[in-house]
Amino acid sequence: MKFSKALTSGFQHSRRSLRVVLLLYGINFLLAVPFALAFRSALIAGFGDSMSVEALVKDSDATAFSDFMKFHGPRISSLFREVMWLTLLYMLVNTLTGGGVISSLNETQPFLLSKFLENCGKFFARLLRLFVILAVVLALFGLIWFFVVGFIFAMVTSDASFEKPVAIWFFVTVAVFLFPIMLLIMAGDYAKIAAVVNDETRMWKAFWRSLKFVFKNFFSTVALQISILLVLATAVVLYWLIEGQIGMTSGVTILVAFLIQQASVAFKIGTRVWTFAGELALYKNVSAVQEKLDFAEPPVAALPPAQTAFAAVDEVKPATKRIRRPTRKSVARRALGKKAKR
Amino acid sequence: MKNLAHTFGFVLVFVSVSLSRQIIFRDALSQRIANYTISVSLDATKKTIFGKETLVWKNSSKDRIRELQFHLYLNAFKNSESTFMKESGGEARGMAMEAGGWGWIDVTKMSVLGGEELKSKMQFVHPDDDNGKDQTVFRVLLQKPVLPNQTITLEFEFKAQLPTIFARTGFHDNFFMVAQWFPKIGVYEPAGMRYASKGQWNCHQFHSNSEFYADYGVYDVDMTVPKDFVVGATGLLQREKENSDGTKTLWYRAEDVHEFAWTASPHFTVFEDSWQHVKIRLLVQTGREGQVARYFQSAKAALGYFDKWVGKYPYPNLTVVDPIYGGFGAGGMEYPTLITGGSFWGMPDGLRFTELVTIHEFGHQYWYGLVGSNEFEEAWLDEGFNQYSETRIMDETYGNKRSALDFLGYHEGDLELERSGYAHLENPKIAPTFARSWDYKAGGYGVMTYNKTAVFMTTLERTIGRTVMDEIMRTYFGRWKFRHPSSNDFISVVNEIVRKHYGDKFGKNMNWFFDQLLYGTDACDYELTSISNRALTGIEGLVDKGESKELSKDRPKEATYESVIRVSRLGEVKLPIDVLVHFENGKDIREEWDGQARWKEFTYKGPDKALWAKVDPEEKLVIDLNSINNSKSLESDRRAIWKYAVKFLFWVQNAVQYASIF
Repeated sequence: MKFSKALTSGFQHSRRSLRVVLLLYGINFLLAVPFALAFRSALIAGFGDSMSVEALVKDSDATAFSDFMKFHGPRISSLFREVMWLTLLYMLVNTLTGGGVISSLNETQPFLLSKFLENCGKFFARLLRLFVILAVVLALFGLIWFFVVGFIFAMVTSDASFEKPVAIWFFVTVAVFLFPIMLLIMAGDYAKIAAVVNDETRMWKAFWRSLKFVFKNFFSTVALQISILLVLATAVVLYWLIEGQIGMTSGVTILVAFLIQQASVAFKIGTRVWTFAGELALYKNVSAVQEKLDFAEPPVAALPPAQTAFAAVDEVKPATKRIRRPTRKSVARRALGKKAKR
Repeated sequence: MKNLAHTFGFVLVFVSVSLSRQIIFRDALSQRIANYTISVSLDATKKTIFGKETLVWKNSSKDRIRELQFHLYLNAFKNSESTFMKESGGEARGMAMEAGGWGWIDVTKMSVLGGEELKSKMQFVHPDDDNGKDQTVFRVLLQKPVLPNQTITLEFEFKAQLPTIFARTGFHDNFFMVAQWFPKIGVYEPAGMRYASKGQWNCHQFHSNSEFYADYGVYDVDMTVPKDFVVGATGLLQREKENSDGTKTLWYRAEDVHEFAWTASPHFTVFEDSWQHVKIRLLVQTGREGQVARYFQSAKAALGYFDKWVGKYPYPNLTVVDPIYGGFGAGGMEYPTLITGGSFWGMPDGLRFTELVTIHEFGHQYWYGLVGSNEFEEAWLDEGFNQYSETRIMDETYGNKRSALDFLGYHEGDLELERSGYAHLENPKIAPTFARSWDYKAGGYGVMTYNKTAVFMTTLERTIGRTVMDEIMRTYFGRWKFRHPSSNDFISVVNEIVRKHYGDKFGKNMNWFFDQLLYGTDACDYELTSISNRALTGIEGLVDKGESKELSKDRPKEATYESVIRVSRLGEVKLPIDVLVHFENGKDIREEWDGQARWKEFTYKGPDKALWAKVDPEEKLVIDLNSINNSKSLESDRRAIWKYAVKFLFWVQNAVQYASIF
């Protein structure tokens, strides 16, 4: 099972890349803290010395909350708008750090901040192009796909007289809508990996090749993604259960909840790194098989094979049924492509 | 001989039908002014009904009545020019009318029994607006007037196309909610009744916002429907017969009610339960069986609460109808002994929509059904009272501050929901609560009628005390059941009972309360403006002592403080209010303020500082728009601030992290 090896191998590598996770967590925390402080200021300004805020200590209180929103809601609303901009900024930061993260996962050398930053800078431009490509593809496909599945949903449920089948159809439709979106996002991940590992600069091509890669290795890529998503979902549920038990009614419990929240965020960032590590392992596994069949040099162009972290991890087993043997034409095309790159 | 046989046959049928009718009340509970016998058949394919109606109407006034007025509610759905469609824009109760889903009613025959033909004299009128194209009210002029205490018997034949359901009545698929469907006589108000200065008909056009005002009577209605249909209706089922043409006929009788509605669908599953003398019949849509216990539990809670609170529910039965998916426009409606609910498959227990709608609609059995309020003109007497009743029952049954919603860590009580609906309106002064339902041109009908009434009635209850309030509601109900009260009649009861218990404590009467909150649009907002503690150091400086001046160093050995608590009235509404002041030594002082002036200061001298103070500490003034400014503390508790700041931080971190998948 390629995916299970990728999953475990990815997990081991992400565990070894604790510094990368901590670095990303640090960025996340530092970007979010000013907003939390602004939120705190807005609460203090809104409630002032009012004792109605005390109703919110033990529990939620609809009256205190709704009165606050009525009279001081604009402050909070503007903060939410700013968080939207922060999200966009964070996407760019994520694009910036993407090269560094994947490079560090690809290396056996200990983590070096200078090297990390160097790789961030090195791959930023192409990952930014990929980000734009992915955004455009997602927007266009998402819009068309939304209308397609929406139309089918409307057709199927238009004469429904009971809500149960409608509710079931709704969830099926949402899943059907989201699944290809997930595949596109996965293709984006593999394109990032290709950009770093294969030193691919033509990002449009990298994206389409990655999409092909996802479809050619459908079970492995999807199973890997779903497995990590399940772990993430479990973590989210666990967090809610724990938070419910803590209560957050005293200084100590608020502090404990804060620590658990931060651990939860760090874990979520860890699962993202895990996703990259797993995808990288899978990508290299399949590419290695491909190269063996191609009798060509290993695909790792940017970094020497000895330095790659995954070189010895994955036992290569030719997947003879799936992989096409290279033709003369394809070998020639590849050679031409490499020439052109040089 | 032929005539004799005909007459004999008629008498035989009449006697057998009369004998088969089960009398519900030995003594009439109402004046029984408008009494109907209707025979109706439903064409489930064409969605049409055909009916024959006999109306026996009694002139209970001292006037000679030459003109009669009638409602034809279904014509509200006839075209885009009806007043209803103009007001609603084809949308009501959160649903839009389907394209081509028009409905209408035609009176094909109308005459006085054995006498004057009236069909040709029918004349559409529009008493509420200048919409000449509205056909929801017609009048006829009689050759012979109806004399005082005389009855007139009218015969009608009518056919109607039911509209697709988006507002109360009509069909969806093969679910039929047949309400406001037959030619129905208006209410004749003689001089002195409610606001009438001379005898007049009160027969309003069908408006988007309001539904009912009618006289009580007896209804004998038989319905012929496809035989696989389950039927529910106002009143009691008398008998049922299967016909040879694949249909069946059901005979229903209802006494001392002012409306008759019925429903039919092949998709109902019937469940039955009872509460004391009341048999509850629940017609649930296939797939929603999981909601049955919730329906019964809430219906019983409402029956029990009203019985104890204001008086007995006199009818022997209650039918609860669960509307079909797609036919929710029929949901949340009230008809005598029949209510429509609102539920969804798989609705979590913490979303108490099923309970809320059931309790609300049952409440109408009292404030719309048993007390015959004019909902067109004084909707607050029905919808508002009912909303107040709903908040009480919901909060006491399912828990204060969590009765309406208790889901995923968020909870909200029904009273809180009503209050926020009013207090957080962009303009809470948009209209008075006392207004005709079609006069809310700028909006606000729902909030002013439902929410604000519930809120100011709770404010009244907490001001005069629950025991006194309950006596008011009991007295009002007892005095006005099966009659048509006005707002003045309720206020009179309030004045009478409050005076009985409190004398002049609240003034000569309580009109000041209703002038502000029922008839007025002003807002209520009291504020705890400031708390200050000044150390009293004695006199320092030069003090006159006869002809000379001495330097005083009069410093007390023990510190004494002058604490000043300032409260302000920011709104225009003036209500008596309490102020609670808490001192360092744990002592509390409670003050009463009439709330009339713009501000007031309470001053205290003593060794302890005032630490915090609250206006309206028991939250009596639910009508107060801003609860945040009602208190101040010199020792602010910042735990909640930190709690939510930390939560917000977590939320932002997650939001940006989830975005990082791209």
